[in-house]
Amino acid sequence: MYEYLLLLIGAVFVNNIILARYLGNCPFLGVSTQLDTATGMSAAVVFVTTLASAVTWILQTFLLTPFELEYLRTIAFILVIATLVQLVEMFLQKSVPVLYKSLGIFLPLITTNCAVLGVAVLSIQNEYSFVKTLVFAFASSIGYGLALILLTGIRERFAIAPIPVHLRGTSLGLVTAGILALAFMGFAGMAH
Amino acid sequence: MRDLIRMVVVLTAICAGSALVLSYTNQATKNQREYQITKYVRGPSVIAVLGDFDNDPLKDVVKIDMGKDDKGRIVEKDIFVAKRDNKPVSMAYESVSDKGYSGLINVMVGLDTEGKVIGVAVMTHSETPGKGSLVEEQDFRDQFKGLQVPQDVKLSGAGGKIDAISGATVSSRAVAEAVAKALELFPRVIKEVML
Amino acid sequence: MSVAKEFTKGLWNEIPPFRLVLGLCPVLAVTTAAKNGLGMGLATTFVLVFANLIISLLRNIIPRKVRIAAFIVVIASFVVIVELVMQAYFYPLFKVLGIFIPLIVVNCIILGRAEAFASKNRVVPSIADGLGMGIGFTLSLTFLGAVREIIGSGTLFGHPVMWESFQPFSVMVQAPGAFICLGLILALMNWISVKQKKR
Repeated sequence: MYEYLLLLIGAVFVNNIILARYLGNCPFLGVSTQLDTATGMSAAVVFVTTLASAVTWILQTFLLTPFELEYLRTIAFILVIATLVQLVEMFLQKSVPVLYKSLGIFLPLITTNCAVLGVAVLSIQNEYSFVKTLVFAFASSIGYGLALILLTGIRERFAIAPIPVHLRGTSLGLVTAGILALAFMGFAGMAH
Repeated sequence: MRDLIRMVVVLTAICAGSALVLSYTNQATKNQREYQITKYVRGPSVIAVLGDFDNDPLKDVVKIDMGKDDKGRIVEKDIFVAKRDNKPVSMAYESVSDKGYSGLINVMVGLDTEGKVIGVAVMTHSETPGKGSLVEEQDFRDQFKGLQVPQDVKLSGAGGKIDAISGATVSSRAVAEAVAKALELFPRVIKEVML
Repeated sequence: MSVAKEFTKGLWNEIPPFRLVLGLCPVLAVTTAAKNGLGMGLATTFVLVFANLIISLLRNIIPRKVRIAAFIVVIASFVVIVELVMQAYFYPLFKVLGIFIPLIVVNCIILGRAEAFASKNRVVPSIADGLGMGIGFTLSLTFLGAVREIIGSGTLFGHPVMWESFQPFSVMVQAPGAFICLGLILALMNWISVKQKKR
């Protein structure tokens, strides 16, 4: 139990997927201007990352490893993730229209969010068991959501702040993310 | 309908082409990739435990069949052979002990052709830093040099010739066990190497 | 003439990732030293050029509906080739770049160029486009890596370049430094463009 708690805290705070592992930065800066969109994106990432990690773990353990096809991991994973995202989109549209309305537009974007593929590959590289993979994927994506929503909260305030012209937009977004990353470094002592 | 068939055919063709190219690349780079992993992961330890040689021990590898693991796959042990004037002078191979304080201890053992230990290197372990990790120290490892009989490779308390590091008896015993295992394997190894 | 234009646009007017803010993850992650930035840039360039080449060749064969899937297969194949070759011949660099090599596959620049350019243009301009964008990306990564390496470790390509009493500002080679440094470079690029326009 202690082990899983450590994994959870480690993935959310200490090795935060955006701020320490640098994964999923494009949408991080792209959608962090409005709180609604940031929340929707976070939810979609949590959902897809956890699901994709579970599926890719099964694929790796029961197909790639036994047949010594490890070298096809990258191509197999990205295809599975792309297909999965498409399936989830179709399923939500038919069965849970409410959820589809709030997550729908983010789903196609997620295929090229490297956080999803990154977490799947990291779980395999760290040789996690199935349960650990699930915990790691869930915690990492929660960490993603946390960082995204925090940054959005800050960036919303920029609208009323006098900012030098050249720094506006992505530039200041990045600098702010850097300061946020600096703050997250303070968590480093938590899980050792 | 025609569109659908076309989509399936084109995608299948692209996938087939990609599979062909990739399996070829995989085959073509296989030996070189294995060599690189050996060179950077095990290479430094191999060089450290072998004496003088004029070949590349990382390329003169003899594989020994160690039976099957619990999943039914064949396990092979790599024996790195050091040569001088094309004659084997010493060899190095890995040995593992699970008797450590936490997790496995992997050691690389170097032996001459008579089966005397000429060097020991601790490759990977997860012992307590500052205590169990002291088995990495040269003074401790040098005690193994010159030993030949597995019975000698025990802690002095158990009738052997190895003095344990104080405060790290368990880790010391595990390293000794791994070296002893390597010595027990020697008769088989030397037969294969001399072939 | 136009081929030259496709090539040079990637070097300044649309230089990724400074102008075309895409594919940021590897940009931030591997630029802890100039050498790593260069290695990552070259790996990406290889994938960009060959993916553009193949996709341009196949552009009339691939049905529109499944084009993204087809692009991903082509791109991923080249990424796997890069992965295998780097592991075989550049092992230390392979270890440093680690997970970011397989992640080239989701680098939005590559899929972006495939969709926006190679799938609509002939082979030669597509190669020029890929090469220009790739070299631009490599230059940016090397530049960012050099800046971070000089300030963060006091070296350039592993050689000491700062004066002796220089204290490395080690946060620059860690995550916060990556974000802040890239942010400030973007601001600098904006400043230069505004100045150019005024003229």
